[in-house]
Amino acid sequence: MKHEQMDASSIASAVTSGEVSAVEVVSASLRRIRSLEPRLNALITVIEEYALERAAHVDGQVSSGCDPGPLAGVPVVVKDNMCTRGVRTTCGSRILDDWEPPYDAAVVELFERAGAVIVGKSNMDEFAMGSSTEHSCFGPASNPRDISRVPGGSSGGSAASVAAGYVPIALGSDTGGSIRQPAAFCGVHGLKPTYGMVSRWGLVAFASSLDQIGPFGRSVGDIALAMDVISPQDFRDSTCSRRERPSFRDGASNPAVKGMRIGIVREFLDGPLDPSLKRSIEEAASVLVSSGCTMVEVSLNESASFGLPCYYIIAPAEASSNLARFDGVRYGFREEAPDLVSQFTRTRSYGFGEEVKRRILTGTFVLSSGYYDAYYLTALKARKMICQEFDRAFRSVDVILMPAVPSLPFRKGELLDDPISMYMSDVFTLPVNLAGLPGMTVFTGLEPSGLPTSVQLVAPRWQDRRLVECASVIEERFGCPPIAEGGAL
Amino acid sequence: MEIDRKIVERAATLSRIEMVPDNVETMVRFFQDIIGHFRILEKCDTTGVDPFSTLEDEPCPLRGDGPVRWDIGDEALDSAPLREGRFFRVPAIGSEEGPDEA
Amino acid sequence: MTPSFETVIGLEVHVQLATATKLFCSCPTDYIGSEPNTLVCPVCLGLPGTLPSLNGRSVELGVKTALALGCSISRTSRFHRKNYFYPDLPKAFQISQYDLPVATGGSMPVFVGGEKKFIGITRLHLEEDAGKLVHGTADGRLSGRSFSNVDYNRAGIPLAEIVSEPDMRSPEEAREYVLTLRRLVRYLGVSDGDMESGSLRVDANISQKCSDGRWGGRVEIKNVNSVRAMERALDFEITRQRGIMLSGGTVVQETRHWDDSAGVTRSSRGKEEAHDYRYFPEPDLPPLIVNDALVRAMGESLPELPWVKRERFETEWGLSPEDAAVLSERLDLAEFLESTVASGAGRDIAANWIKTEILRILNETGLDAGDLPFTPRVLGELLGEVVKGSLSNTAARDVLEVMYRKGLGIQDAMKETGVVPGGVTGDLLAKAVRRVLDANREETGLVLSGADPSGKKRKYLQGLVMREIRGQAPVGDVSAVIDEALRQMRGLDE
Repeated sequence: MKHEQMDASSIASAVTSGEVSAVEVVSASLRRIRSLEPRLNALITVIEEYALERAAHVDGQVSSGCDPGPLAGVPVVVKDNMCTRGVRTTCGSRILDDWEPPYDAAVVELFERAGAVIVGKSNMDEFAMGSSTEHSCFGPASNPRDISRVPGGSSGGSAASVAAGYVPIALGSDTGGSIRQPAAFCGVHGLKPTYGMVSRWGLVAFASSLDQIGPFGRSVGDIALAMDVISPQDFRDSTCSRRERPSFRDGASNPAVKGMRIGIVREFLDGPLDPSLKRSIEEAASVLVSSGCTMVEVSLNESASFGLPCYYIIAPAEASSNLARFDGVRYGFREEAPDLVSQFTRTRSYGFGEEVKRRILTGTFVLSSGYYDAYYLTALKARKMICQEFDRAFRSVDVILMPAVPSLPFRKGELLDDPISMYMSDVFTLPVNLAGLPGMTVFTGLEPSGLPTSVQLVAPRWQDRRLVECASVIEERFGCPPIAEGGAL
Repeated sequence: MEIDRKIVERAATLSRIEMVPDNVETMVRFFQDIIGHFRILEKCDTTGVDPFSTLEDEPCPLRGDGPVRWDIGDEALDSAPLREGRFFRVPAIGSEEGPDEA
Repeated sequence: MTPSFETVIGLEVHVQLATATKLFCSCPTDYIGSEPNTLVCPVCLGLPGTLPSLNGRSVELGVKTALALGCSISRTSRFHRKNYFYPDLPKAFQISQYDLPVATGGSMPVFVGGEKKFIGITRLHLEEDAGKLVHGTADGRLSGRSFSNVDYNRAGIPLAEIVSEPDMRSPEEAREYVLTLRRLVRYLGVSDGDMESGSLRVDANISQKCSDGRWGGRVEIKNVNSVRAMERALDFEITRQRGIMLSGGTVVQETRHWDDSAGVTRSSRGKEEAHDYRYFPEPDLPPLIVNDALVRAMGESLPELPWVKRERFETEWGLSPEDAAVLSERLDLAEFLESTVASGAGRDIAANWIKTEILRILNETGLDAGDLPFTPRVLGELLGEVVKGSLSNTAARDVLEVMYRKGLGIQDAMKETGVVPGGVTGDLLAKAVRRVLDANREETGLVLSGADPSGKKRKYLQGLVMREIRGQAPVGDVSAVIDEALRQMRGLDE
């Protein structure tokens, strides 16, 4: 089997047993990247020299009898909004200007400690604002299943890297769907954990109360493996829970779905939804039923009606504050000007792209005096109601089954001039962020056209393990996502 | 409420973002669309709802008071757009600008 | 009839809390005298991806201060972001508390003109300090500045902001409030309360109420860097605001900056409209829960409060109001006094010695009373000797001086000083006189030969004797012994 087709746990065990060297695996990954990057533009930075050094270090550990960790020699990609010490971290923005962080994100530390080798920083919508990876100052990324289409966003580069077989595991961040939507578009699995499960230390913030890091993978087992590595608690993130974490790998290998009550949300199936995706829900439901689950209809009327406006108030509000620090004083890009106010203004006007400016302005507006109560405060209350609505739903079901996206991947440029239609593509994912719930996109196959279909699973807070349990059962029926070759359909 | 240039320009000023005249019009249209969309929330009956999040089920952790030196001063200064000795340097603050707050 | 005015003053005092680390990161706080930008980390530099983690000690110190001010402690409080752009503010927002501060509703007594008055405390909240800007020009002049340098060592230092009710009616009351609050934070050990170095900073709100029913707008005065500057700024504002109202004008509500060298406040209007801090709850910090155990522990850690001590010194001990004030000013001094008295010394003599001799030593050396090389009990013993009459005041002062300079006990210090218990009398005194007369033959000769009609030379010799015996004999005795010695010398000559 070619290295790029192996899943992470096979790589790790082959490397640990000395069957194959980490250097060989990482070199194969870098070769795959070199051959496909010209078409995909999934990575902003390819890390070659340092990756090979790290791989050699892992091999050294193996030969000296040390345990290199559960991800020994596994090449991985992390989204370019996660700080990597000494390796530029751009967030897809001009304003960071090849800034090299003096510290590593918690997930980067954890990955490296587990023996993983970071081979690239993935392309993304600027500051994770977007659903197509077209809003990157490094140019758009392409969907490896059809390069005329977008890979989704904002973690489009990470999703594409896994779909194209660069790496078996990549990390993305999800604020309103930025893991689950590109996973759906690229045809891979992607999990957004419960808010507070994974440390955000070193993740450049978009909307702090919504952001969460999670993995992409081509097998549920790899998703579980990655989660076990990145989910320890971290005192540097005060919102990172001090609860005990579940064993995800155990959940993936021993799925106990029998007797689970699966919720189907009528509101989400009756609205605009591609027929192939509606079919996926039905097929996944029958798989779960045949494994001993029962189907229950639940209502998420408030989430369906108010999720979108609520999200597009809260997320920009927090973003307007989080992105205020980019002023050209301490790091990053600066446009010189004779006085301070013009320097701030010019730096920010030139440094940020259009979509980011739209959101900063929206966020500033909803927080400004005279509008705070009508917009921001109302949105906070609506958010609370959405949380309570999910709480109610989870009294009668254990997991909710719903679409991840309303449509198959759209073509590049198709929605670029229509920001609000672009926002609509997050309609199924963002209520999950608002309620801080875990959600997972599970691959359900390729259409005859070659485009992928998927479903989304949502669980109560801290019940992330149920997601990998159900996903394992679904994966058994539909198979793991195949590697995409980066052609055009 | 009418969304006009003034509202957009005020948000831009507060955000330290400059709007060229062409962009203002586009942004005004975007504001009209998005805020129109926000109006859906008027249908949301939030009476008596406590705005604070239910996600905060654990209190703020308290850190111990033991100092740690990072010694990244130089590294940080080196990545500044303009370093002057041991300082970050910025242009003059307009004559009327004092610090906003102590 | 000319209308009369009443002045209404409220103060916002920022106190730097004496923690070892910053409010939201583990950087050390000893920024004074440190090289610029050395006490910084990714958090307090506001680097992308960093998150705040709250210093528990700063919460304790905030709660301790609030309890001393009689505030009620909010079991749940919250941090908010206050958004504005300024180069000394690394994240472009300050993490502060807004509508849910850690403590609300207390009061603090101040003494003005012998009267005690309670000033209401609206709230106490925690927030982070900003960095420091150093302005300059390319040619080094300070005026016409063309750039600023930024130092983030101070960024993130914990502050408690204490907001008073508008209960003060004069600059004197405002001054006493600040002095009382400073004394309190020093007593509590929560801050060094030093205004010059900026560990205690004051913004003053002042307005006028006219007897004809009109109210002037409230003016916030910033940039007052000493108690004196605050009083001058308030005096200036009173005159300015009354002048405006007397001529029929309106005092506009605004922020004004005090220019200490020019002695005026200046409007900083113009940027007012641009201010919109867009406060919203800090999403990176869950709510701050202060539990009963913490409140209890802080309550138990409170010393007797300075105003309570002061009143006790006055009413129980019978000290004069002035002495009570001086002796309760510093906790170390007050505790030294109380221990001295507890060891058996009389209250009056102990108070007297401590407010003069001990305070002088502390002021000269900058020492804390606890750091003196002798204990209150030893001071008590020394004072016992004075009371018994075996040491004169002067001799005891000399002994004390040697005790602290050389770290000696009473006996050794007396030896070193040449002090004799019971004073210098009889033979000892006669010998001392002979030594002085012998050593000053010229003057002695003049006196003996009657060439000292004004008695100046004789006085001079007497002074030398007093010095020789360190004042340990009454002047009359010394004079008599000198006369006797002179007589003998004359006898010998004849």
